[in-house]
Amino acid sequence: MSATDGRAGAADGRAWGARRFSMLLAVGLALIGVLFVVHLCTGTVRLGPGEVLASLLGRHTEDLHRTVVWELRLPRSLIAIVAGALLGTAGAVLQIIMRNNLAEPGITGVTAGGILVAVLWIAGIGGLPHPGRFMPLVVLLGCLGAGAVVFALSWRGGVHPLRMVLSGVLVSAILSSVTAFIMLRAQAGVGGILPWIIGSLNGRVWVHWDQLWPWAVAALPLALLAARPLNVLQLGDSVAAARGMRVNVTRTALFCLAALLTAAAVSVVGAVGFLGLVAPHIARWLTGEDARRLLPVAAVAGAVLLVGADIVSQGVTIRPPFPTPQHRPGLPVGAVMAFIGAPFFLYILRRGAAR
Amino acid sequence: MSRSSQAATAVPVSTRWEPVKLLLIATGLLLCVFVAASLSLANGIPKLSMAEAWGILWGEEAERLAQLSVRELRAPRVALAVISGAALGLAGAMMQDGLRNPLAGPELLGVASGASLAVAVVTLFHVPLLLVFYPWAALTGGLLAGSVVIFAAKGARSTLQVVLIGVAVTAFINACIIALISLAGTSGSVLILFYFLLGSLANRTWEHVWIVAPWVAVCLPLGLLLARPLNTLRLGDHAAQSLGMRVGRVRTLVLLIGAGLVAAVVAVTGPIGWIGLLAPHLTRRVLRSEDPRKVLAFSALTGAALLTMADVGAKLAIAPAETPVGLWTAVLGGPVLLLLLRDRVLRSDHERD
Repeated sequence: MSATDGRAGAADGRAWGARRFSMLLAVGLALIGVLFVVHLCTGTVRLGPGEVLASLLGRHTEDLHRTVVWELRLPRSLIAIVAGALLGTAGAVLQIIMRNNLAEPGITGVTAGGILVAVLWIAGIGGLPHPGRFMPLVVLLGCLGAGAVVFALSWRGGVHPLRMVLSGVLVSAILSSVTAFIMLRAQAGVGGILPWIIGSLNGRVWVHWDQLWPWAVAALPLALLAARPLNVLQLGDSVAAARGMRVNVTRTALFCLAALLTAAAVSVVGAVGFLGLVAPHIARWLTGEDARRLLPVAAVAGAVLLVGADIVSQGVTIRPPFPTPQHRPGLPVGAVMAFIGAPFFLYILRRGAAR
Repeated sequence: MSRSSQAATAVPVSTRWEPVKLLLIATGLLLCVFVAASLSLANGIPKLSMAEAWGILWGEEAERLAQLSVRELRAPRVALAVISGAALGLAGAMMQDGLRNPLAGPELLGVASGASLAVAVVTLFHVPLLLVFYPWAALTGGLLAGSVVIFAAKGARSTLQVVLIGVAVTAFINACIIALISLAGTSGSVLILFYFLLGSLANRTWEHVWIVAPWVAVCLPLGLLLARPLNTLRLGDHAAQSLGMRVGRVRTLVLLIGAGLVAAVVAVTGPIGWIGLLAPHLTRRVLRSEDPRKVLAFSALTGAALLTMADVGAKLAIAPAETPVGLWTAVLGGPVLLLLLRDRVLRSDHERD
């Protein structure tokens, strides 16, 4: 629990904490706004912020600009923001219910399960129709299955971190091998799916946005509502039980919620790794452990990170430092996230070792 | 000195039967290799009987097509499976004992992914490098990644930390590979790399075997020679030091030789996962011993048996289509590893903490 929540903190500290929290949120949202505009400006067709804003507001502009901004970049930016928020929140929820600072959709195998089921479905095994808008629901099945296996393998009254990472890594390896196997059998365009497996925003348009937003609208408020039970869980199982909470039921429900958040994001942007790890950690530094503040800040941090990473990935793709052939799939945003996230992961580990 | 020899003095019967038991296990493993090799040699198009296949291999005359496919296509594949499996099995056992970490291995130490990155760089940028020198490139990559992990893990003595650091470094390297593919790859080379990164033994010729063979021929005996110091190291760093062993030097040697074995294999077959982790653990279970003097050699044998069998599976599962063997080792090896490691890892972590 954060210091502001302690009894000795008194109303003064609490008020300051609340002010600090709203300031943080405001700054975060402003940052998202700025990055949103920058993101709309980046791409093969260079646009200035003025031109972007003009075409957004529907003032008379060149048709090309309007098409580029409205049809290509706007959905991509929106997807980046929402998917980032979803993954950041999912990471925060997972870290609290697994009582483990390293929990993250990618490491816990949740993502790999979702990807497997998605590829299975798309490849048309068993003659099932393409789920379209219900894709997140399909992905959710995989996320829940894989997550439950890893959870069960590593649960001993609190998730043992080593068990979790080991089972997560192994289960992910198994699942992604099966995914690769299906891709090989289905002769799907391997070059196209490969970036999706590491997470990519390339070519995401309104269709994908339509697929994403209903789930985000459903899941994000649910997650914010879950802040209270999450806070109780943070006190420890016995205290939570003494307060009349059915700990295991709550934990399972919250786990399903985290899987839903992940599934919605993964079904559209693919397996962007480390986002669910980095965003909650940043949020914890900024606001402390209180879930009521942690979750919104983690969501904002996730959105900022994913949009920022996508700006970087597009920037790198436009001006590569070496001559490139015609076929350029573009740097997937998941790769940029891993470049940021892996060293961050190392840093958390080393800091943990020092303590 | 070691736990097994203490047990041996207490129960003399087991000493008498020990050589017989070892001989039996070795025979069993060799039999596995033999059966898998026969299946691999006989099956395919044209389909032959096992006797015919071995006959052709030993120089019997036969139809030109059969002769060609057995001698030039199937035999090198079997040879490569045996050699690579042995190399991976030994490398895994050495790293586990050397770092006193049941999870050390080419996959989790980043050595395999570092080597793959080096090969990917060479392939994608069309670096003018003869095929023979691929293992050197892979070795550089593997050693770099392995030393990054070990350097970053310095001071972190728990199994958990080292593995987590390995996971992070591996993720970073994989991101590098993906970034390279998407920025510099033509669709053709992307496909080739995709297959390569899954790890496969299909379509390898004698040329490939001769690239790996010298490396394994040098590193395998060197690795086996390390069995005695590794056995001493099991007593703990301090005890080993007071017995006059230079612990740091032994560790460096273990990493060098292990990386050499892994790099040579990865350069030719791609990163075939989990054999290096699975073989030593299976061996320890079967031998009921942790003594590196036995485990190292038998782990190499187990690795060879596992990879040959997995490759037959990859070849025959949905014949005539091929599946990369790396998929099979991950799909089948993963669950076995989960079962094997569950208790062991926890125990060793508690001992450490």
